[in-house]
Amino acid sequence: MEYRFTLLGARSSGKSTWLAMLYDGLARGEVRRFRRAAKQPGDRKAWEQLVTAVREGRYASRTPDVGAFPQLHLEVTGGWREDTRVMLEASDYLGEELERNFSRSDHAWTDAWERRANADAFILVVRPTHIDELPQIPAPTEEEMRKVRALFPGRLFEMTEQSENESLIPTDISPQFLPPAAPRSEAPRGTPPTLLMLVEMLQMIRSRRGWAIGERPENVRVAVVLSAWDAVQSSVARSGPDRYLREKLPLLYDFVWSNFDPSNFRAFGLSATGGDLDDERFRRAFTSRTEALSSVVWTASGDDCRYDDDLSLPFAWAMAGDIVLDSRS
Amino acid sequence: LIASFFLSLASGTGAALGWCFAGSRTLPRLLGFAESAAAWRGYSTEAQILPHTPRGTPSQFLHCALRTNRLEDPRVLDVVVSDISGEDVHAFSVHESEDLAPTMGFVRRADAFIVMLDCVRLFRAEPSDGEVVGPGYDGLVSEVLLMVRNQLSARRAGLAIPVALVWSKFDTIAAHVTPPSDAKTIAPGDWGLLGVHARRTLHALSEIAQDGVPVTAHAVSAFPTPLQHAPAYNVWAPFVAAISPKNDRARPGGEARVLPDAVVHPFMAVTRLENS
Repeated sequence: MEYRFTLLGARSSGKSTWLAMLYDGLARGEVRRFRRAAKQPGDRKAWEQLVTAVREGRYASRTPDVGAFPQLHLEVTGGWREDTRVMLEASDYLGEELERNFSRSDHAWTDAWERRANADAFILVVRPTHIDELPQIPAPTEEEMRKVRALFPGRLFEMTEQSENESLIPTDISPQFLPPAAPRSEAPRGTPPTLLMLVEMLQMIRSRRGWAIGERPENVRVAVVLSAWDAVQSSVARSGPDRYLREKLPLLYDFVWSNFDPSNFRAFGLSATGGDLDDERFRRAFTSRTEALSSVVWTASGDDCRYDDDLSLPFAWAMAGDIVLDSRS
Repeated sequence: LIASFFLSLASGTGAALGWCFAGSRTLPRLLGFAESAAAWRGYSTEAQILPHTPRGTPSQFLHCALRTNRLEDPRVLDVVVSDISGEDVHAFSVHESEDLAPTMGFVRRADAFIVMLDCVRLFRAEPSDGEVVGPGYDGLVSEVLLMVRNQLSARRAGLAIPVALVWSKFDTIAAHVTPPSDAKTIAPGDWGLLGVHARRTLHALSEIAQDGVPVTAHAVSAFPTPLQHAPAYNVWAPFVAAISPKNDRARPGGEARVLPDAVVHPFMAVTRLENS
């Protein structure tokens, strides 16, 4: 069978590093859910170029052959899916393409994107430490939310007379009492917010697939991969990727929840290299490693997180769902 | 209001109230609004949080799809909000000229009306840049409400088209007016100083209510201070009031609106939806 994934990630999201580590992991025997098939496409130059950097302890840059669709034939191992042959097709593209598509200064919808739009599963790669954020509106306090909810209890859309008889507005806000103006950023905005770009690309893809807003297509899985998970503050990371996605990236979470079957999407924390290759000490440990340093973390339930060192896990999950989470071999 | 609504949706506040962001056909435009709001440094620098929409600008629309955050509830609601010049709205209010029909045509099909009254303009003693302020401004807003009433009675009689009045920039008068707890309260005596200064507006609103139209009034501060300093206040209330009767008409998720082929492109424009 042929199974195609589309990886969506903005610039510096870590998707090239992940693919390179996956390729090298297959070569090192560290990937348990797939193995390389005997028959491979004749031209694997693009993969080789991608992987050379990480073998030398450097971060992989984008493939030189942008827009190509380097293919890799894999076989499923471990019995989690009856179909055993899989074609992993990893087309790389410039992160800037997402920006262009977002700004619509030119309509960059190409045959390559058409092909990506028709993938069997979608994997969104977001690097939490490298996100261009939307302007933030301060979150209301619990007390404010309590009062707002009191205004609309029970039936969501109906006004009520049960609200508290008090003003919710602080009475000392008037122009002359405004806090001092915050310093203005002089830097012109370069890139659209990362999450908006991803949402927009997913919307374009959904539109091409003919899925209406809110339509949850059957058997289409979406994995949200939070890359460089080892760099996320440990107190936050402890709560797991599901909670991180829900609380720190609500726009993306809400969009995916609204448009895909909730049982068909899952967040993963991914540490492809296991540390920072720009740190010389880690780099030395990395290049001389005898076992995998990488890890994939997912939320089993609540804040209960599980770990695996198989970098192919999000791909396997995208193919077969939660069954692969328990099939550690 | 729209920028604040979108940012609050993007920050997950809507989910706490039962709504989720489900998509938007106008994301770049919403982002533009949000960025302008983020750049605003406070009333001491500029009265306008977003750039003024010049008169004669063709009508533009902002779209946000909402989904209830209950798993078993499949309904999706497309919220399409017009963004047109205030001057054009006022001009149309006093003369429904054919020249303005392309810009104002949506009022004949709108499922709800949110009418904004700028508290700063209402209480300003001296005009700035020639804009109408004080009692004149109150009169202007009341004319807009009269136009809305006319639209509702002439073409939409019997339909539950809600009208929500928003006292915008309410933070500037919050020290002097305590809003009533029930948004359906529109008696001038219940709105303190606003009841005195916006008598014409409230009267026009009460006339609409007498026609059997559901009306509400909401104290709102979309950006009480520059964005970094304080949360917005009550931004969701007018939208909740506006979509209340439409709740029953929200489509189940997945029930696609039939669109012409030319429109079914990733770069679909909402304005075409409006014409379809």
